Amino acid sequence: MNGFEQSKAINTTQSVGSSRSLLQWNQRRSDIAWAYLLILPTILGFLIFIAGPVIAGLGLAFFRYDIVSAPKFIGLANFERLAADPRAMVVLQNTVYYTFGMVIFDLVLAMALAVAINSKIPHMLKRFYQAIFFFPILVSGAAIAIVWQLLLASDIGIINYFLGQIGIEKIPWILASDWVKPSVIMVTVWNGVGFNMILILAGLQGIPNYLYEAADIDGANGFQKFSRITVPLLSPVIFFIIVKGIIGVLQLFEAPFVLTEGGPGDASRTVLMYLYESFRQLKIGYASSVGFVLFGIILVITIIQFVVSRYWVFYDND
Amino acid sequence: MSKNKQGISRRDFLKSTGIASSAMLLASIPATALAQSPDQENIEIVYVVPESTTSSSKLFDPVVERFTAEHPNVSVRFVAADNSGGWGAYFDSLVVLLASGEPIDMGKIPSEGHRLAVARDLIVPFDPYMDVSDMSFYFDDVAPQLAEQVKFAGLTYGLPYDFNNMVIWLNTKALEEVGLDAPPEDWSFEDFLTYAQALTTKDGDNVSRYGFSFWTGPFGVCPWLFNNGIEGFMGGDALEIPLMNDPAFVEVYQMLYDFIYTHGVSPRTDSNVTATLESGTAGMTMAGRWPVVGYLDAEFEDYTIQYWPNNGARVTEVGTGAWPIFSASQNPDMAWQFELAALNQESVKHFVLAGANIPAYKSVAEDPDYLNTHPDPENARIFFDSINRDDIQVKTVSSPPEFNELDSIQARWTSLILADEISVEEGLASFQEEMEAVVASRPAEWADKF
Repeated sequence: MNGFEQSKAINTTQSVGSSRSLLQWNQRRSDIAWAYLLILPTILGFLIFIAGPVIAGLGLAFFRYDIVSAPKFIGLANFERLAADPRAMVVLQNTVYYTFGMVIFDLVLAMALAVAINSKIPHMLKRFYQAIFFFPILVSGAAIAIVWQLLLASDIGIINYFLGQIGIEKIPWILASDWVKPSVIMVTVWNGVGFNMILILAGLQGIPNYLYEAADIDGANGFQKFSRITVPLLSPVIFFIIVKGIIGVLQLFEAPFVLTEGGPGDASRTVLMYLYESFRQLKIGYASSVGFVLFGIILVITIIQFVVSRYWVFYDND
Repeated sequence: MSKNKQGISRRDFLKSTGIASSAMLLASIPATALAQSPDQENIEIVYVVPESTTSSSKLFDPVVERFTAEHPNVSVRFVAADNSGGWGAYFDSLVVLLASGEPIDMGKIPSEGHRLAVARDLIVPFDPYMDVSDMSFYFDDVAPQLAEQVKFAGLTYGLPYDFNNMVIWLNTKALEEVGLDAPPEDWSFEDFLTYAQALTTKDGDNVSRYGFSFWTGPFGVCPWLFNNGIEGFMGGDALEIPLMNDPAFVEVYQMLYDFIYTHGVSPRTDSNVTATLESGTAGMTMAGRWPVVGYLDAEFEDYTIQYWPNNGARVTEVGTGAWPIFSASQNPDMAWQFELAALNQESVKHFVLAGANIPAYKSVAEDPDYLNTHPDPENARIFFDSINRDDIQVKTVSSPPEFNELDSIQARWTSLILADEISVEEGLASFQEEMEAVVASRPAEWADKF
């Protein structure tokens, strides 16, 4: 092959190589375009139905707006009013109470149920208990709250009737300020503990048995095995339950709304119920400011949780 | 890039899926959404209806059929607003619909929302239409006091076609057990307490039956206030004067407190009181005509009704149903024609037989088909007679323009009082203070509208 022919061969090879690169580049651009096209509906949905309303809501917090008339800019007046409203502090305290009460109670109960079901009981019995504890999750929270409202009625409810039969005085479950919050926690945990129980059960079943066998050989007792093996290895699940639980409880609405309507007074009212009340009274700007503050609280708490998690949550790749 | 044995690449599969999904999405869009704008000669009446088990757009089918037969170029479209959370939630839905630009022509607004709608110029007066229409079919047959209930500052904003009131429902088996006849129609508050005490029975320390179960929303408290000689929660033409500090107001709240804690004739709950009558847990309860549908379904007939007890004044509390025309209407003239079609006696009879309200027309209230929905048809006449007598005044439930605020403030303070966590005087003083603040923030121009 002479030089020209070699050169021609090289050019051809390079041309073929360039053509192949161009083809790959065009293919890649096409892939990218298709990828964006296929995720476009989700992105549009997020922008239109989530991000857009959130940003609009944050904006409305700086206006006085009753839906019927045009919005009027009032600066920070809604936030000043929120800071000065004694009811706002009461509902915030209630919400914090629910958060600690529900998350801790739910977690402990879910853990106890999962450990019990994961013990050496017949398989059919395991499945049975899983089903009955999970069942309340399948029922609407509002329907559950209505039924519990009848059960917990102070003077004509069946729970107080049976308590009376064993000599216990009627408890004003959903009437007295001292009892309404524990009653709401009880109903909400009863409704949702099954889901967390299933998560923890799945986590328990993923813990290798040889760890417990090794611990047995080393003479560890039940509590030591639980605290040194079970809990650390379950920490990702526990973390998820806590984060999800706190976010959910900070937005608690259904159970207290149906059970007690936030009463007596504001004794069982949550921040979200207070926000809803403001919307009902056509104080859209003020309600938006409450939503803004709630969003900020949830964001800060969630960030703190993620930062702190590095000290106690252990993942498989750690 | 993976290829299956038939030669379709993963990339091609994903492309095909994307195209197919987009095509399905486009196909799911109703054709009407893509259609051209309708012929200008066709008119659509948009009607807001509160959807619930006893009130729905289906009830209007015969009315729509007759109306569109007379007006072939007119169609009627119903838009549902949820009222399962009460009238407050219904108003919220309604206001949002109006604010969203939905061209609503007319719809149901109950008493609780009339002033709210008038204050915010959401509805228009009927007077120009009534002046040129023959309204004798209406005014000759409707109880005069009822016809005036949606009139503000001399202007008529609605023509009640049905209503509900408050009467006392008594369990006849319970009365028989304690050897009591039905009370007289002009019974007093003291007589009422006597009946409640007689009907309360105990099984050891437990109360097996309470004399009277009651609920405490504005519609439930107003009849006590009215019959104790007070205007309600608010006084003044524009309902601008909170009355919680009035001695007659305090007296009523003290009485309700005493029912529970002093006399022990009432349970400490106000959920589902009509069920307590049926179950025998209470000998008396309070309601309008609305329990009748549930009682018919449950085949419960052991009840009678009686006028509300009085303490000097005899007043019937009402909540009326009317179909105002909205100021957003694009077809107010045709909306008025539909109003007339829906307002006639035949239509109203159809509505009340399917629902749980009381007809505004005397002729319908005396119709055997309506009366026979009750075990004692003669007793059922009380529902209509309560608003059609010269010796009984008719008053609408307290409905200031800020009804939603009154509703929530009243619920808070009443629940604290009846939970025995605050005294009656203290609770009502706080209630008064909050309502004064609400009224103080009212726009000045609202005063002229009432």
